[in-house]
Amino acid sequence: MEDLIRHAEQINRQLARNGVKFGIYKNGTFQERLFPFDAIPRVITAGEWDVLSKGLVQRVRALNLFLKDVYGEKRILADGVVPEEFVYRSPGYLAPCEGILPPGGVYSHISGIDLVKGKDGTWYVLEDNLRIPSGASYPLIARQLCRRCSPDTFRHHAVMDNRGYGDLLRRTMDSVNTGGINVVFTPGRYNAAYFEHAFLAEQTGAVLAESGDLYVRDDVLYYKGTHEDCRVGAIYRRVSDEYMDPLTFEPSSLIGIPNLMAAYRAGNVAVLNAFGNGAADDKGIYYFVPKMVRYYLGEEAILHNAPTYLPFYEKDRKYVLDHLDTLVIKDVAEAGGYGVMFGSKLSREELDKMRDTILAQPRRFIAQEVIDFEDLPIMEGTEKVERKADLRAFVLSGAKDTVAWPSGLTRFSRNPDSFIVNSSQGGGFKDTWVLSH
Amino acid sequence: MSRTLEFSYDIALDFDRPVTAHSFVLRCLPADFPGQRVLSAALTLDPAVPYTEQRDGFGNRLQIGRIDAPHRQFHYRAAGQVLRDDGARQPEPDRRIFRYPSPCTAPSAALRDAAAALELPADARAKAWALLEAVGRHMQYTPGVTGVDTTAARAFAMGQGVCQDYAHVYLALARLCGLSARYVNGLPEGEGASHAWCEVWLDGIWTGIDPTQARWADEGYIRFGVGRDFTDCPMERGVFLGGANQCQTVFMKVSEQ
Repeated sequence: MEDLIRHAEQINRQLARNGVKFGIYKNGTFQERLFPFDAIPRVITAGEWDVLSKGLVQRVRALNLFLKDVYGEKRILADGVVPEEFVYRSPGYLAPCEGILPPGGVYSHISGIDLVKGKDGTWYVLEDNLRIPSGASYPLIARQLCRRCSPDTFRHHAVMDNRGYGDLLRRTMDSVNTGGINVVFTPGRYNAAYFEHAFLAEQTGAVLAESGDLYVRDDVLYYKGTHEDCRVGAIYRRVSDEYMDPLTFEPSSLIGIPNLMAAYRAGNVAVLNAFGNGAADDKGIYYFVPKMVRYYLGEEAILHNAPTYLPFYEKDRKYVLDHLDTLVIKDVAEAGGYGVMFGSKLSREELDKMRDTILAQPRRFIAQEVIDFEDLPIMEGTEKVERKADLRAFVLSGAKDTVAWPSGLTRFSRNPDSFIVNSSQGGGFKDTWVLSH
Repeated sequence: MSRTLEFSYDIALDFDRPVTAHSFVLRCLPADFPGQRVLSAALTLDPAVPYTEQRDGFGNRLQIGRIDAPHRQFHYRAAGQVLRDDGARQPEPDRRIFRYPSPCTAPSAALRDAAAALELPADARAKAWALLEAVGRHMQYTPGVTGVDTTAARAFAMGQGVCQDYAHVYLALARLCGLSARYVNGLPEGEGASHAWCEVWLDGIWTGIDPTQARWADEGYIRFGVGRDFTDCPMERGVFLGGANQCQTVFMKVSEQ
């Protein structure tokens, strides 16, 4: 481990040379930032991973079944397990997806589940990301560089190899591919995760494509090749739903593929992840995930949610209003660490204003107990300090099976007082080691 | 009384300079719905490119295609015969989605206040009619002040608009007042432009109501598309390359056979 720490600067330099950056828009201009890497890995024991991976697979299976149900039969709504308005009022629910069954019946092929570990050792799920979760490439490339800098470290620790992610992703694409090539579709180099798009295309052997490279004819998606155009059977797209097809969604989108929806509706191309997945990863829907596990799988959820209250329910509303100063309030429409308010940091007036807003729009918020989650050591210069960190685990679902990748992106806050670890808010990352025994 | 209606629907899109890579989705052929049987329906395109047919999740028919070659015009014509008979309709299921706001019908504070201030009868049919009267009192029919993306909130604030705006305002109010209501576009008996109206789920029947004309939408109306609002079922959407201005001319005719 000491050997890795000694090499941290070198690894960061290598990451920069490889273009491991993320972009953010600040004051209206695009800026690229390095994503600082901390060499001390998060270590997950084999026993811990056994439980975690089972829980992750279970959760993602239930979420996929929920999406299939919501855009199909709607049994869970009819049975009142999930109130229908949490679906129909959700900005992530897309009516044009009604009645469409994607190839293989899979909606969320690549799921990014955000967890934290409480000081008591219990893992809690904070968020499900089922649209276009990013971040798998960071621990993947960091591991490659670490192994190169310090091969001994990996000889002396039984760390499960995470370098199979590319294969796992390719198998996932292949399993739903309807005939034709695989492409990774990127909005282009001014996107926060462009490095990742290019890297994953390389790792999976898929073609990296932008909107000008693809078109739809006769309900089939084609890639404009140098010699001849070829059919696309699976598109791993890294563009949000609303920009993907100007003839179905946002009409002004210039980065989409006109009539992609027609090719998808006809069953002629698999779209990873499917359109409309936002109906299942809304912060309001999160509350219901353990109920979905019970409803669809007849099992108790292995992974816990953070204790969550829905002001939508009168009983919860009362609790939330009475304990606002100790809870964390999340606006269900926001993402990326925005719209998260800690009651303890609000002034008296702000708390009163918050109470009024919750009373006026109870469906818009969830409230959670603040979890005192584990600190992880990071190096700040030569000093070891403790910082809050979370884990984004990646779960891949193909036509036949759902698998949790034995690694993940550990993000930490660089600010000692902050619980928010999103890279768009200035955090750094670590490799995540899963031990094999 | 059943009626057999003959329809024709002509659209001319003219561009002031050539365009290419023109992809389109049309919803310009009627589908079978309870109370409506399509006896015949044909679509001709000029340029005569091939098109595929699909259905969306609301049961609407889509015609999908692409014109690659440079062109200055896209003309299409739908024509056929429809049998309308609302006499023997069986109860249909509610679709709960039509009880909730949608992109163009999200209520503003003003719409909420207006809905709350209405004194409505308890009977659903009487309520549906009272809402139509309320929309008629508030709105003034004014072409040219609203566009295809005007929301109910905006049209209500202006107090003006065309059939699409009347329908959106009606839907926003109806849903606030607890009715299941949906947007319809299609062709009413007569000549001129296509039309938009609403359907309300009354005693298990999706019943047509026309806020613009202040009448029930009876067997003289041919349904082409339904949805939560205009954005779910536009009769034409297209994108193309080329910085051209386009001019659209519409002419439709519906008459009894």
